[in-house]
Amino acid sequence: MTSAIPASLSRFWWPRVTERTDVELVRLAKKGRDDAFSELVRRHEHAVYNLAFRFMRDAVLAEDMAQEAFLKAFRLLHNFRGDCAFSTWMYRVTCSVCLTEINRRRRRGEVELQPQHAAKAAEDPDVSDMPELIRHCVTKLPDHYAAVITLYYLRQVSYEEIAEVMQIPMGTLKTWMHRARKRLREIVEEELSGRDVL
Amino acid sequence: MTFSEHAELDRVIEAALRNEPLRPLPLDFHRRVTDRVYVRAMIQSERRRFRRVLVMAGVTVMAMVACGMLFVLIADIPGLVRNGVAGGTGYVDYLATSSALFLSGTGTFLAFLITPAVALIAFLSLVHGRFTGTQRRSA
Repeated sequence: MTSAIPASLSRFWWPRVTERTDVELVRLAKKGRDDAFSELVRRHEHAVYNLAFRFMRDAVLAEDMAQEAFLKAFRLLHNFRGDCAFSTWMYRVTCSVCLTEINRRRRRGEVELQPQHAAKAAEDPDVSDMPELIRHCVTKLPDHYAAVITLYYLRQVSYEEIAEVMQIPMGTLKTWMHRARKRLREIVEEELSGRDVL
Repeated sequence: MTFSEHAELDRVIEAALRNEPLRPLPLDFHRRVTDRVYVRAMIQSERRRFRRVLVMAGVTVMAMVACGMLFVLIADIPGLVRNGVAGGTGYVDYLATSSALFLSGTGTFLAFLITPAVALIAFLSLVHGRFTGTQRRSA
């Protein structure tokens, strides 16, 4: 191909999927190009997996939820109009999938056989497991608080992007963040009180 | 809890959440996702094709029925027979006889058989997707 088309024009005539923007890849994926969606997955899988892990606090569940998020994104791709970044839209889909699963488990009364932080404490009681306990308490927040807290502490997600993901004004986001931190502190205090009693 | 204890707990919470490291991706995650997406794409494609085939079959049947009804209306066969129009029964006889004569010829009889056979083959090919471009792609 490069012999038939000048090198300066070959990019114009046939750019590889790795060289296209997210919006172009979405457009190609809507037309049925598998490689376009595959490239979108490759670009965002790390962020989506980590976001899912911060909700689910379990590696296997996080992988399941991340896969479900990409499947849901593929199914709803026709709804993506390009009015926000694809990463923002993926965060929104991932939050929705994870929170739905958390609520489903809560309604069914499903509990882990042994939460990860308890497992770590059981292995080595001398090691403080406070950070993991705190991270686990985030899942006990109301959905919208859990979402904003999780997104805020996920790296490279700005306040503006969080507001776009949650589709709320900046003022509301700041209020939610303040209330989420306050509620999280209360939950952590309750957890610590419960452990002290035991 | 006192204010300073709250502040200390806030700092601990902030540190715990901010310092959580990013986890590495599981092995084969990308392949597993793309495999599931491929299956979902095939399911969507098959559903679209099935709907398209059903719609075309329905339109075909309705067109055939409409043509039959149009012929009966234009020829006003029921009217001819019902009103006892002079020569009406004869006209119906004429249609039946001419149809029988038409089918009695070998060539015309074969044409009468082959035409719906060709139509059936075309319909079955449509169902299998040869004309709609939705055949399964090799992996």
